Amino acid sequence: MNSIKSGYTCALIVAMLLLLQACTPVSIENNKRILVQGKFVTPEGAAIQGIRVSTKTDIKGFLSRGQGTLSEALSDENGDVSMVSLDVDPGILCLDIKNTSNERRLQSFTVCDSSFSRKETLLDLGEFVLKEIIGTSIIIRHNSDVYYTLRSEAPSVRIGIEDWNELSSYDDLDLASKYTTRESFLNSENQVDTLRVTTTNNSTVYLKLQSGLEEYTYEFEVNEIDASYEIDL
Amino acid sequence: MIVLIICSTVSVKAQEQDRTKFSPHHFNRIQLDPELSLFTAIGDNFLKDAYDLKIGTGITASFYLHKNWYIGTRFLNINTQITRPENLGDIKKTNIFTFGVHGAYVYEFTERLYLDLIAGIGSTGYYHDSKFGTNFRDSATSIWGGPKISYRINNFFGIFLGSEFRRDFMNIEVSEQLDDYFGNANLLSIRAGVRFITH
Repeated sequence: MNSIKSGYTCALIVAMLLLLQACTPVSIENNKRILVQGKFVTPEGAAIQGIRVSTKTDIKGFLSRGQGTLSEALSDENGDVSMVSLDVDPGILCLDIKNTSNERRLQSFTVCDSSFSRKETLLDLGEFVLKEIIGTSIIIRHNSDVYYTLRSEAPSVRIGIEDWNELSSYDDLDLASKYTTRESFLNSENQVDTLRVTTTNNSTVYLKLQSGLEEYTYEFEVNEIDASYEIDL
Repeated sequence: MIVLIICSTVSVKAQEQDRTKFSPHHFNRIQLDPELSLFTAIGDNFLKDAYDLKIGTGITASFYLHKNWYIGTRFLNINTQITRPENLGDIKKTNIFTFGVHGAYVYEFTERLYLDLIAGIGSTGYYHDSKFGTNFRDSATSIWGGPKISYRINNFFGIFLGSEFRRDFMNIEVSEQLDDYFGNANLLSIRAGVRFITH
Protein backbone atom coordinates (compact mmCIF):
# COMPACT_ATOMS: atom_id res chain seq x y z
CA MET A 1 0.00 0.00 0.00
CA ASN A 2 2.83 2.30 0.97
CA SER A 3 4.68 1.61 -2.27
CA ILE A 4 1.56 2.50 -4.30
CA LYS A 5 1.27 5.75 -2.37
CA SER A 6 4.91 6.65 -2.94
CA GLY A 7 4.49 5.74 -6.61
CA TYR A 8 1.60 8.20 -6.89
CA THR A 9 3.66 10.83 -5.11
CA CYS A 10 6.55 10.30 -7.51
CA ALA A 11 4.22 10.54 -10.52
CA LEU A 12 2.69 13.70 -9.09
CA ILE A 13 6.13 15.28 -8.59
CA VAL A 14 7.19 14.35 -12.14
CA ALA A 15 3.93 15.77 -13.52
CA MET A 16 4.43 18.99 -11.58
CA LEU A 17 8.02 19.30 -12.81
CA LEU A 18 6.85 18.81 -16.40
CA LEU A 19 4.15 21.41 -15.88
CA LEU A 20 6.74 23.75 -14.43
CA GLN A 21 8.90 23.18 -17.52
CA ALA A 22 5.90 23.98 -19.69
CA CYS A 23 5.26 27.19 -17.81
CA THR A 24 8.82 28.45 -18.15
CA PRO A 25 9.33 28.03 -21.87
CA VAL A 26 12.44 30.10 -22.39
CA SER A 27 15.50 30.80 -20.33
CA ILE A 28 17.17 34.15 -20.71
CA GLU A 29 20.88 34.13 -20.19
CA ASN A 30 22.06 35.86 -17.06
CA ASN A 31 24.67 38.59 -17.27
CA LYS A 32 24.56 38.94 -21.05
CA ARG A 33 23.46 41.55 -23.57
CA ILE A 34 23.77 41.70 -27.35
CA LEU A 35 24.19 44.95 -29.22
CA VAL A 36 22.30 44.97 -32.53
CA GLN A 37 23.18 47.80 -34.87
CA GLY A 38 23.00 48.65 -38.54
CA LYS A 39 21.89 51.12 -41.15
CA PHE A 40 19.08 50.48 -43.63
CA VAL A 41 19.35 51.94 -47.11
CA THR A 42 17.76 51.59 -50.54
CA PRO A 43 19.90 50.26 -53.43
CA GLU A 44 20.43 53.93 -54.32
CA GLY A 45 21.90 54.60 -50.87
CA ALA A 46 18.99 56.56 -49.38
CA ALA A 47 18.31 55.99 -45.68
CA ILE A 48 15.15 54.09 -44.81
CA GLN A 49 13.26 55.11 -41.71
CA GLY A 50 10.81 52.89 -39.87
CA ILE A 51 12.42 49.49 -40.36
CA ARG A 52 11.60 47.39 -37.35
CA VAL A 53 14.39 45.16 -36.10
CA SER A 54 13.48 42.55 -33.51
CA THR A 55 15.36 39.79 -31.82
CA LYS A 56 13.12 36.83 -31.22
CA THR A 57 13.38 33.32 -30.00
CA ASP A 58 11.50 30.10 -30.46
CA ILE A 59 9.78 29.12 -27.27
CA LYS A 60 9.94 25.38 -26.92
CA GLY A 61 8.02 24.46 -23.83
CA PHE A 62 6.66 21.02 -23.06
CA LEU A 63 3.13 22.04 -23.92
CA SER A 64 3.58 25.27 -25.79
CA ARG A 65 5.50 26.63 -28.71
CA GLY A 66 5.59 30.13 -30.05
CA GLN A 67 7.72 33.14 -30.64
CA GLY A 68 8.64 35.86 -28.24
CA THR A 69 10.36 39.18 -28.71
CA LEU A 70 13.53 39.84 -26.78
CA SER A 71 14.01 43.37 -28.02
CA GLU A 72 12.91 45.61 -30.85
CA ALA A 73 13.65 49.04 -32.27
CA LEU A 74 12.86 51.16 -35.33
CA SER A 75 15.40 52.70 -37.65
CA ASP A 76 15.58 56.49 -37.35
CA GLU A 77 15.53 59.15 -40.08
CA ASN A 78 19.16 58.33 -40.93
CA GLY A 79 18.26 54.67 -41.31
CA ASP A 80 20.27 53.81 -38.22
CA VAL A 81 19.14 51.30 -35.67
CA SER A 82 20.85 50.43 -32.44
CA MET A 83 19.37 48.38 -29.64
CA VAL A 84 20.36 46.22 -26.75
CA SER A 85 18.92 42.74 -26.76
CA LEU A 86 18.67 39.92 -24.28
CA ASP A 87 19.97 36.48 -25.20
CA VAL A 88 18.51 33.03 -24.69
CA ASP A 89 20.15 29.98 -23.21
CA PRO A 90 19.30 27.40 -24.39
CA GLY A 91 17.50 28.42 -27.56
CA ILE A 92 17.84 29.93 -30.98
CA LEU A 93 18.00 33.64 -31.50
CA CYS A 94 16.25 35.05 -34.56
CA LEU A 95 16.66 38.44 -36.14
CA ASP A 96 13.53 39.81 -37.74
CA ILE A 97 13.68 42.77 -40.14
CA LYS A 98 10.40 44.27 -41.35
CA ASN A 99 9.23 47.47 -42.93
CA THR A 100 6.54 49.25 -40.92
CA SER A 101 5.70 51.86 -43.53
CA ASN A 102 2.68 51.32 -45.77
CA GLU A 103 4.08 53.59 -48.45
CA ARG A 104 6.07 50.88 -50.15
CA ARG A 105 6.66 47.18 -49.95
CA LEU A 106 10.19 46.30 -49.01
CA GLN A 107 11.97 43.05 -48.47
CA SER A 108 11.67 41.49 -45.05
CA PHE A 109 14.01 38.98 -43.48
CA THR A 110 13.98 36.52 -40.64
CA VAL A 111 17.30 34.92 -39.90
CA CYS A 112 17.60 32.36 -37.14
CA ASP A 113 20.91 31.06 -36.03
CA SER A 114 22.02 29.39 -32.84
CA SER A 115 25.49 30.79 -33.41
CA PHE A 116 24.11 34.28 -32.76
CA SER A 117 23.96 33.45 -29.12
CA ARG A 118 26.49 31.79 -26.81
CA LYS A 119 29.48 33.71 -28.12
CA GLU A 120 28.27 36.83 -29.83
CA THR A 121 27.71 40.09 -28.03
CA LEU A 122 27.53 42.15 -31.22
CA LEU A 123 25.27 41.73 -34.23
CA ASP A 124 26.45 44.35 -36.67
CA LEU A 125 24.24 44.42 -39.75
CA GLY A 126 26.43 47.03 -41.41
CA GLU A 127 24.79 48.90 -44.27
CA PHE A 128 21.80 46.76 -45.00
CA VAL A 129 20.24 47.24 -48.44
CA LEU A 130 16.50 46.65 -48.65
CA LYS A 131 15.00 46.40 -52.10
CA GLU A 132 11.46 47.17 -53.14
CA ILE A 133 9.30 44.19 -53.93
CA ILE A 134 8.03 43.91 -57.49
CA GLY A 135 4.80 42.00 -57.88
CA THR A 136 3.18 40.67 -61.03
CA SER A 137 -0.19 38.97 -61.23
CA ILE A 138 -0.92 36.36 -63.88
CA ILE A 139 -4.66 35.80 -64.11
CA ILE A 140 -5.63 32.52 -65.76
CA ARG A 141 -9.16 31.88 -66.93
CA HIS A 142 -9.82 28.22 -67.60
CA ASN A 143 -12.71 25.79 -67.94
CA SER A 144 -10.85 22.63 -67.20
CA ASP A 145 -8.13 21.39 -64.85
CA VAL A 146 -4.75 22.95 -65.56
CA TYR A 147 -1.32 21.79 -64.52
CA TYR A 148 1.23 24.54 -64.45
CA THR A 149 4.95 24.94 -64.00
CA LEU A 150 6.17 28.40 -63.10
CA ARG A 151 9.90 28.94 -63.14
CA SER A 152 12.14 31.91 -62.69
CA GLU A 153 15.87 32.32 -62.98
CA ALA A 154 16.02 34.95 -60.27
CA PRO A 155 16.87 33.36 -56.95
CA SER A 156 14.71 35.72 -54.93
CA VAL A 157 11.44 35.18 -56.77
CA ARG A 158 8.48 34.16 -54.68
CA ILE A 159 5.56 32.54 -56.34
CA GLY A 160 2.18 32.52 -54.76
CA ILE A 161 -1.39 31.81 -55.61
CA GLU A 162 -4.35 34.13 -55.23
CA ASP A 163 -3.28 37.00 -53.10
CA TRP A 164 -0.47 38.70 -51.29
CA ASN A 165 -1.37 37.29 -47.92
CA GLU A 166 -0.78 33.74 -49.02
CA LEU A 167 2.80 34.37 -49.95
CA SER A 168 4.05 33.71 -46.50
CA SER A 169 2.19 30.44 -46.19
CA TYR A 170 4.83 28.29 -47.85
CA ASP A 171 6.67 25.70 -45.90
CA ASP A 172 9.99 27.19 -44.87
CA LEU A 173 11.76 23.91 -45.53
CA ASP A 174 10.76 24.10 -49.17
CA LEU A 175 13.10 26.97 -49.93
CA ALA A 176 14.41 25.70 -53.25
CA SER A 177 11.03 25.36 -54.87
CA LYS A 178 9.80 28.57 -53.25
CA TYR A 179 12.41 30.63 -54.92
CA THR A 180 12.84 28.94 -58.29
CA THR A 181 10.05 26.69 -59.46
CA ARG A 182 6.52 25.94 -58.52
CA GLU A 183 4.46 23.15 -60.03
CA SER A 184 0.86 22.69 -59.14
CA PHE A 185 -2.65 22.19 -60.27
CA LEU A 186 -5.52 24.58 -60.90
CA ASN A 187 -8.90 23.01 -60.32
CA SER A 188 -11.56 23.59 -62.97
CA GLU A 189 -14.08 24.58 -60.29
CA ASN A 190 -12.36 27.93 -59.76
CA GLN A 191 -12.33 28.95 -63.44
CA VAL A 192 -10.22 32.01 -62.58
CA ASP A 193 -6.92 31.64 -60.72
CA THR A 194 -4.23 34.17 -60.07
CA LEU A 195 -0.56 33.40 -59.85
CA ARG A 196 1.33 36.15 -58.17
CA VAL A 197 5.04 36.43 -58.73
CA THR A 198 7.08 38.71 -56.52
CA THR A 199 10.73 39.51 -56.69
CA THR A 200 13.15 42.22 -55.74
CA ASN A 201 15.07 42.01 -59.01
CA ASN A 202 13.81 42.36 -62.56
CA SER A 203 13.48 38.85 -63.83
CA THR A 204 11.97 36.66 -66.50
CA VAL A 205 9.35 34.15 -65.49
CA TYR A 206 8.49 31.13 -67.60
CA LEU A 207 5.02 29.64 -67.32
CA LYS A 208 4.00 26.30 -68.78
CA LEU A 209 0.31 25.38 -68.73
CA GLN A 210 -1.07 21.98 -69.57
CA SER A 211 -4.78 21.58 -70.09
CA GLY A 212 -5.78 18.16 -71.35
CA LEU A 213 -3.46 17.39 -74.24
CA GLU A 214 -2.77 21.03 -74.97
CA GLU A 215 0.40 22.67 -73.70
CA TYR A 216 1.06 26.43 -73.62
CA THR A 217 4.26 28.26 -72.82
CA TYR A 218 4.51 31.92 -71.79
CA GLU A 219 7.30 34.26 -70.84
CA PHE A 220 6.83 37.31 -68.64
CA GLU A 221 9.10 40.12 -67.63
CA VAL A 222 8.65 40.95 -63.99
CA ASN A 223 10.03 44.44 -63.84
CA GLU A 224 7.38 46.82 -62.59
CA ILE A 225 5.37 47.07 -59.42
CA ASP A 226 1.87 45.60 -59.58
CA ALA A 227 1.89 44.58 -63.26
CA SER A 228 -0.82 42.23 -64.41
CA TYR A 229 -1.20 39.72 -67.27
CA GLU A 230 -4.26 37.75 -68.29
CA ILE A 231 -4.43 34.38 -70.02
CA ASP A 232 -7.63 32.89 -71.46
CA LEU A 233 -7.41 29.18 -72.14
CA MET B 1 2.68 50.75 11.26
CA ILE B 2 4.18 47.91 13.30
CA VAL B 3 7.51 49.72 13.34
CA LEU B 4 5.77 52.88 14.55
CA ILE B 5 3.97 51.03 17.35
CA ILE B 6 7.18 49.30 18.40
CA CYS B 7 9.06 52.57 18.23
CA SER B 8 6.57 54.48 20.34
CA THR B 9 6.31 51.66 22.89
CA VAL B 10 10.07 51.38 23.18
CA SER B 11 10.36 55.13 23.27
CA VAL B 12 7.83 55.59 26.07
CA LYS B 13 9.33 52.74 28.10
CA ALA B 14 12.83 53.95 27.56
CA GLN B 15 12.01 57.54 28.37
CA GLU B 16 11.01 56.43 31.83
CA GLN B 17 14.41 54.83 32.35
CA ASP B 18 16.16 57.57 30.50
CA ARG B 19 15.83 60.21 33.12
CA THR B 20 19.10 58.91 34.50
CA LYS B 21 21.87 58.83 31.91
CA PHE B 22 22.75 57.68 28.35
CA SER B 23 24.96 54.64 28.38
CA PRO B 24 27.82 55.15 25.93
CA HIS B 25 28.42 52.69 23.11
CA HIS B 26 30.50 49.71 24.16
CA PHE B 27 31.77 46.31 23.02
CA ASN B 28 29.07 43.77 22.10
CA ARG B 29 26.26 46.30 21.80
CA ILE B 30 23.99 45.46 18.89
CA GLN B 31 22.03 47.94 16.85
CA LEU B 32 19.39 47.45 14.24
CA ASP B 33 18.70 50.13 11.62
CA PRO B 34 15.66 49.71 9.38
CA GLU B 35 15.74 52.39 6.70
CA LEU B 36 14.13 53.98 3.70
CA SER B 37 16.35 55.39 0.92
CA LEU B 38 15.86 57.72 -2.00
CA PHE B 39 18.18 56.92 -4.90
CA THR B 40 19.38 58.72 -7.93
CA ALA B 41 21.64 57.16 -10.54
CA ILE B 42 24.53 59.24 -11.80
CA GLY B 43 26.90 58.96 -14.74
CA ASP B 44 26.42 57.68 -18.26
CA ASN B 45 25.17 54.16 -17.74
CA PHE B 46 22.16 51.92 -18.17
CA LEU B 47 20.83 52.61 -14.68
CA LYS B 48 20.77 56.35 -15.27
CA ASP B 49 19.40 56.07 -18.82
CA ALA B 50 16.81 53.36 -18.65
CA TYR B 51 15.51 53.33 -15.07
CA ASP B 52 13.53 55.48 -12.76
CA LEU B 53 14.63 54.46 -9.26
CA LYS B 54 11.98 54.21 -6.59
CA ILE B 55 12.25 54.20 -2.80
CA GLY B 56 14.56 51.57 -1.39
CA THR B 57 14.04 49.66 1.83
CA GLY B 58 16.77 48.10 3.89
CA ILE B 59 17.92 46.91 7.23
CA THR B 60 21.34 46.76 8.81
CA ALA B 61 22.42 44.85 11.89
CA SER B 62 25.63 45.99 13.54
CA PHE B 63 27.83 44.78 16.35
CA TYR B 64 30.07 47.13 18.30
CA LEU B 65 33.70 46.00 18.54
CA HIS B 66 34.60 49.09 20.48
CA LYS B 67 32.75 52.24 21.54
CA ASN B 68 33.91 53.90 18.29
CA TRP B 69 33.78 50.97 15.87
CA TYR B 70 31.18 48.57 14.65
CA ILE B 71 30.77 46.01 11.92
CA GLY B 72 27.61 44.55 10.49
CA THR B 73 25.54 43.22 7.67
CA ARG B 74 23.18 45.04 5.38
CA PHE B 75 20.28 44.07 3.21
CA LEU B 76 18.86 46.55 0.71
CA ASN B 77 16.10 46.39 -1.87
CA ILE B 78 15.60 49.02 -4.56
CA ASN B 79 12.41 49.10 -6.61
CA THR B 80 12.64 50.46 -10.13
CA GLN B 81 10.57 51.45 -13.09
CA ILE B 82 11.90 50.92 -16.61
CA THR B 83 11.71 53.99 -18.79
CA ARG B 84 13.72 52.96 -21.87
CA PRO B 85 13.50 49.22 -22.54
CA GLU B 86 15.31 49.53 -25.88
CA ASN B 87 18.44 50.23 -23.85
CA LEU B 88 18.06 47.05 -21.80
CA GLY B 89 16.22 44.40 -23.78
CA ASP B 90 12.57 43.52 -23.28
CA ILE B 91 12.42 43.68 -19.50
CA LYS B 92 9.17 44.29 -17.69
CA LYS B 93 10.41 44.87 -14.17
CA THR B 94 13.64 44.96 -12.20
CA ASN B 95 14.30 44.72 -8.49
CA ILE B 96 17.76 45.31 -7.11
CA PHE B 97 18.81 43.38 -4.02
CA THR B 98 22.06 43.89 -2.17
CA PHE B 99 23.48 41.90 0.69
CA GLY B 100 26.80 42.84 2.18
CA VAL B 101 28.96 43.69 5.13
CA HIS B 102 30.00 47.05 6.42
CA GLY B 103 32.17 48.69 9.00
CA ALA B 104 31.93 52.11 10.61
CA TYR B 105 33.80 54.55 12.72
CA VAL B 106 31.58 56.34 15.20
CA TYR B 107 32.31 59.88 16.31
CA GLU B 108 30.45 61.11 19.37
CA PHE B 109 29.45 64.77 19.28
CA THR B 110 27.32 64.56 22.37
CA GLU B 111 25.82 61.72 24.33
CA ARG B 112 22.83 61.94 22.00
CA LEU B 113 24.36 62.93 18.68
CA TYR B 114 26.72 60.68 16.69
CA LEU B 115 28.32 60.61 13.30
CA ASP B 116 28.92 57.19 11.70
CA LEU B 117 31.38 57.04 8.80
CA ILE B 118 30.43 53.87 7.00
CA ALA B 119 32.01 51.78 4.24
CA GLY B 120 30.71 48.51 2.92
CA ILE B 121 31.00 45.85 0.26
CA GLY B 122 28.43 43.38 -0.95
CA SER B 123 26.89 41.30 -3.66
CA THR B 124 24.07 42.75 -5.75
CA GLY B 125 21.55 41.05 -7.98
CA TYR B 126 19.47 42.88 -10.56
CA TYR B 127 16.49 40.55 -10.74
CA HIS B 128 14.55 41.04 -13.96
CA ASP B 129 11.11 39.86 -15.06
CA SER B 130 11.19 39.47 -18.82
CA LYS B 131 8.10 39.88 -20.96
CA PHE B 132 8.09 36.09 -21.37
CA GLY B 133 7.34 35.82 -17.69
CA THR B 134 10.69 34.19 -17.01
CA ASN B 135 13.18 35.69 -14.64
CA PHE B 136 16.87 36.27 -15.06
CA ARG B 137 19.45 38.36 -13.33
CA ASP B 138 22.53 40.47 -13.69
CA SER B 139 25.00 40.35 -10.86
CA ALA B 140 27.39 42.93 -9.51
CA THR B 141 29.83 43.63 -6.73
CA SER B 142 28.90 46.76 -4.83
CA ILE B 143 30.87 49.09 -2.67
CA TRP B 144 29.39 51.97 -0.77
CA GLY B 145 30.33 54.61 1.71
CA GLY B 146 28.96 57.69 3.39
CA PRO B 147 28.12 59.47 6.60
CA LYS B 148 25.13 58.87 8.82
CA ILE B 149 24.09 61.17 11.63
CA SER B 150 22.15 59.55 14.42
CA TYR B 151 20.27 61.01 17.29
CA ARG B 152 19.55 58.92 20.37
CA ILE B 153 16.12 59.59 21.78
CA ASN B 154 16.88 57.28 24.67
CA ASN B 155 19.08 54.35 25.54
CA PHE B 156 17.24 51.95 23.25
CA PHE B 157 15.94 53.99 20.42
CA GLY B 158 17.14 56.64 17.99
CA ILE B 159 16.73 58.04 14.53
CA PHE B 160 19.23 58.63 11.76
CA LEU B 161 19.72 60.49 8.50
CA GLY B 162 22.53 59.82 6.08
CA SER B 163 23.78 59.94 2.56
CA GLU B 164 25.68 57.40 0.56
CA PHE B 165 27.60 56.93 -2.65
CA ARG B 166 27.49 53.47 -4.14
CA ARG B 167 29.16 51.88 -7.13
CA ASP B 168 28.04 48.59 -8.67
CA PHE B 169 30.68 46.77 -10.70
CA MET B 170 28.49 44.84 -13.13
CA ASN B 171 29.33 41.35 -14.38
CA ILE B 172 27.40 41.73 -17.65
CA GLU B 173 29.04 40.30 -20.76
CA VAL B 174 28.71 42.87 -23.56
CA SER B 175 30.46 44.00 -26.72
CA GLU B 176 33.22 46.54 -26.25
CA GLN B 177 30.94 49.35 -27.48
CA LEU B 178 28.77 48.78 -24.41
CA ASP B 179 31.55 48.15 -21.91
CA ASP B 180 31.26 51.55 -20.28
CA TYR B 181 27.50 51.63 -20.47
CA PHE B 182 26.97 48.29 -18.71
CA GLY B 183 30.30 48.17 -16.88
CA ASN B 184 29.20 49.89 -13.74
CA ALA B 185 26.40 51.85 -12.16
CA ASN B 186 26.70 54.70 -9.69
CA LEU B 187 24.09 55.74 -7.19
CA LEU B 188 23.67 58.53 -4.72
CA SER B 189 21.18 58.12 -1.93
CA ILE B 190 19.68 59.82 1.06
CA ARG B 191 18.75 57.34 3.77
CA ALA B 192 16.68 57.78 6.88
CA GLY B 193 15.39 55.39 9.48
CA VAL B 194 15.11 54.41 13.08
CA ARG B 195 17.74 52.81 15.27
CA PHE B 196 17.16 50.13 17.87
CA ILE B 197 19.95 49.68 20.37
CA THR B 198 20.45 46.86 22.84
CA HIS B 199 21.86 47.12 26.39
